[in-house]
Amino acid sequence: MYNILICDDEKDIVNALKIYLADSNYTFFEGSTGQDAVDIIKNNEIHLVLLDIMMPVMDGISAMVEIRKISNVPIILLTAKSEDNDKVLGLTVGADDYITKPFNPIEVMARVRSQLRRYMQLGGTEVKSSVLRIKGIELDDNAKIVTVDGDEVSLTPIEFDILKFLMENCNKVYSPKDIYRAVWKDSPVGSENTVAVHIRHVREKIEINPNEPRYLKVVWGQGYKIEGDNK
Amino acid sequence: MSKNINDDKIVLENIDNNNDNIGKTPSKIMKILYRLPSKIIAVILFVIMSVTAVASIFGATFMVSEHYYSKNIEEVKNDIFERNAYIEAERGFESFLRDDFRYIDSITHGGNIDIEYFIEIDDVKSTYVTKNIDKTNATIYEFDVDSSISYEDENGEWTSKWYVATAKVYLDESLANYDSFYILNKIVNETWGMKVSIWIIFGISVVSTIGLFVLLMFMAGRKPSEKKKINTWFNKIPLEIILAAIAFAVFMLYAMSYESFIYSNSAQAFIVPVIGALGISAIFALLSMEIAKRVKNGTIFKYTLIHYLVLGLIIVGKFTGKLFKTAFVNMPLIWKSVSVYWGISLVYLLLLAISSGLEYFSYFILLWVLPNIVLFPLVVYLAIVLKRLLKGSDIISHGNLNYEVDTKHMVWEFKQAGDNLNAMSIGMAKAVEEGMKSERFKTELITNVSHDIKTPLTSIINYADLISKEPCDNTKITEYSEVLHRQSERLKKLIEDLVEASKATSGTVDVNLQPLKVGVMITQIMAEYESKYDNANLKLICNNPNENLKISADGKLLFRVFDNLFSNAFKYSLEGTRVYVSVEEIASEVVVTLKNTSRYELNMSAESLMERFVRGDLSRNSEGSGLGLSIAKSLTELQNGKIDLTVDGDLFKVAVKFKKIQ
Repeated sequence: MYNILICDDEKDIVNALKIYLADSNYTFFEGSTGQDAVDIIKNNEIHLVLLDIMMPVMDGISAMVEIRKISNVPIILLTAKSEDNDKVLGLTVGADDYITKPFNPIEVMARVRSQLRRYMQLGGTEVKSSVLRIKGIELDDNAKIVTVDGDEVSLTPIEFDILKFLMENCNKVYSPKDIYRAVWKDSPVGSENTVAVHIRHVREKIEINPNEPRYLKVVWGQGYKIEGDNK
Repeated sequence: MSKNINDDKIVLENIDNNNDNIGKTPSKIMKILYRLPSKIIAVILFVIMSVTAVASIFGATFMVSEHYYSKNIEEVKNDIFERNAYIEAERGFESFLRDDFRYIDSITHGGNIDIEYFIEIDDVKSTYVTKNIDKTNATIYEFDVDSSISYEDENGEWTSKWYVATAKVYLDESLANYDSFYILNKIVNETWGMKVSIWIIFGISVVSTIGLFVLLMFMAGRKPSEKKKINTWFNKIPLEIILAAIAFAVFMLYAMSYESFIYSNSAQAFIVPVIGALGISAIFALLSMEIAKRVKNGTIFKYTLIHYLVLGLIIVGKFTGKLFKTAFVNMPLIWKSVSVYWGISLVYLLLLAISSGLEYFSYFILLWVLPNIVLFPLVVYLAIVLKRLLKGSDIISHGNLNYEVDTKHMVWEFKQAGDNLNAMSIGMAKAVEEGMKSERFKTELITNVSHDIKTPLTSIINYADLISKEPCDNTKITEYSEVLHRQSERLKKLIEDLVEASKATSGTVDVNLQPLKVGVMITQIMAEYESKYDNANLKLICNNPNENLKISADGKLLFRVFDNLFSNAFKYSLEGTRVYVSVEEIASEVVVTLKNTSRYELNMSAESLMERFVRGDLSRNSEGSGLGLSIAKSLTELQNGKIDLTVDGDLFKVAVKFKKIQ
């Protein structure tokens, strides 16, 4: 049983979200201003917050600042502001995820589930030596298993090797050639495209929205990297 | 068949034919005429005819002036003999005075005449008789002859003295001896019979000379096989040189003929002049032909010394003119004015010196020195001020609106001009800032409005989606909800593109230029699009992009550019066709080219395709906002790149160009 707070000044959007997220496991709390959100969190045990930014009385960013003073509940910003600056600001101030309106309902559902799983189930899991973990991705080298927010993802051996290589060297950018050399252990002759296609496939499997990857990022004109704090 | 060959020839000949006044192939007769033997024959005929004509002219003139047609032969002979006798007598007297009797001897001994002179020298009458002749059987001519001799007197000065004598010439009627009388007699006897026929000869020869000349002019410079006019080395010799050489030859021939005519008393005397006349005539004929050929070829002036000289002078003149001009133009303003000032001043000094004369020059020079003391600093000052104004206007016109002209030491209108310039740059800076502000404001407005639109749009999309998911028996409702869903998705895309386009064109995008490998970029993007293209039955083909080509660009923005281009190609390509991508280095630029075959007829120009809100077909209602190319263009330009569109039938080609870096 999870308590989800949906805070948006647009009643219709709140209702639509409730319909999409309708699940016997979820209980919904509603708010229409930032102040509502802060009040509800103070008085209830909330497991996840879906927060709009542009709201009357108190906007989402200020509300989030308030919430972060009292709770580390996962917050997903859900907003019409799609500029990079807004995203960076939101994520810096304390949001765990950022979804722009108009949103894809399936994406919202996936992200909600992912945040809940990380917050509720995986929070204190011990890290095994053979397991690499970056944010929600867990790669078990012995078992050859990859999970994203607890869900197992089936990767081909090549895809597994690529992901492993990038996770071992996270935050570093590798060109398709470098990746080919490291994974295929061969000199790349016109095989850049192969690498790029594999990466695209990996992204389709581990990312909720492959076009806006959270983990495996594309650095255009340079290569690829996995972003994260290697914990 | 033969006609074809002929045609081929015409084509071949036409290649170098720059003058088509003889554009037709020569007829058969013409071809024969243009042959070398015909020309030679014509020249020979011309030479003979012309010489005959000249000779007949001389003859006819001779006959007329000797009264052939009004007197009988005896009278004519008598006239001629009398004249000749006078000439001989006078010549003889001349030699007689010099105590040199050789000439008299030569004409009297063995000749047909004797001469008697009756002279008065120093009041003494004396007679000189050349020889005793039989005066009974002779015609007698009597003349007064005179001549002078020069001598040196005791004082060593030269004086000349005239002597007059009466000469009696006795001509032996038999004319048995060979001398000038004999020849004249013979000439008269011979020509008397031609009194009439000479005119016929004269007429025929003159007419045929003119006719042959015309024919020669016509044949000159043409060949039987070619219409083309060929310039041989000879045709290129400057005309003046040919003329000079010919004049020399003609002179030599003339001189030889004259010499031989004068100093020979024999019949051979006529042979050399005739040969000379023939030679002169031949030279005349050939020279005329050469000139005619040059006229026909249009090279009469081209190959002349004057032409070469003029050409040379023009080149030299142009070169020196340019030299002076560049030197003057590139001179700094101050030096320019100083040099002009002193140039004028020196001319003034010169005029002063001329008008004053050397004696008073030292006073007049004050008139020169004083104005210079005042004027020269003024000129330098003006030049400096002008230079400053010029520099200021130059800098401002190049876009640096913060520059301020230093008007501290300027006076009058110059100060005003400088202040105006400063005011202008401030005004312009303000206007530019205003413009940028308004542009930014516009973008902000669009962004904010888009936020406001997005919220209701979210609900529309979501509820349309929910409706379509509701189980429903009414197929119409399902259909309608699908339309709703599709159109709301399109609206979403439109709004996103609108914001992006407004940002890109107003330049309110952060551009973070970094070295970037284009090959890697294209590989990455192709991987992103490959499955999408595969699903749409399109093939994405790329020659191996050179991974090492680097440009300076913002990866994210460049991705947006290519994203737009690749999705454009995807959206508008004809199914089952191939989309070609290439990365090339062309003239220190990296050029990425995308080529696809359009599904629709591209009924507009490349320029209008690039404009906002334009899609491939004006009448079509499909996905896409029509902003893709416009966004791609603006974003590329923000990164100092360039986009070129080419439409060739259904082939749509877009080239993104960036400067290559190391």
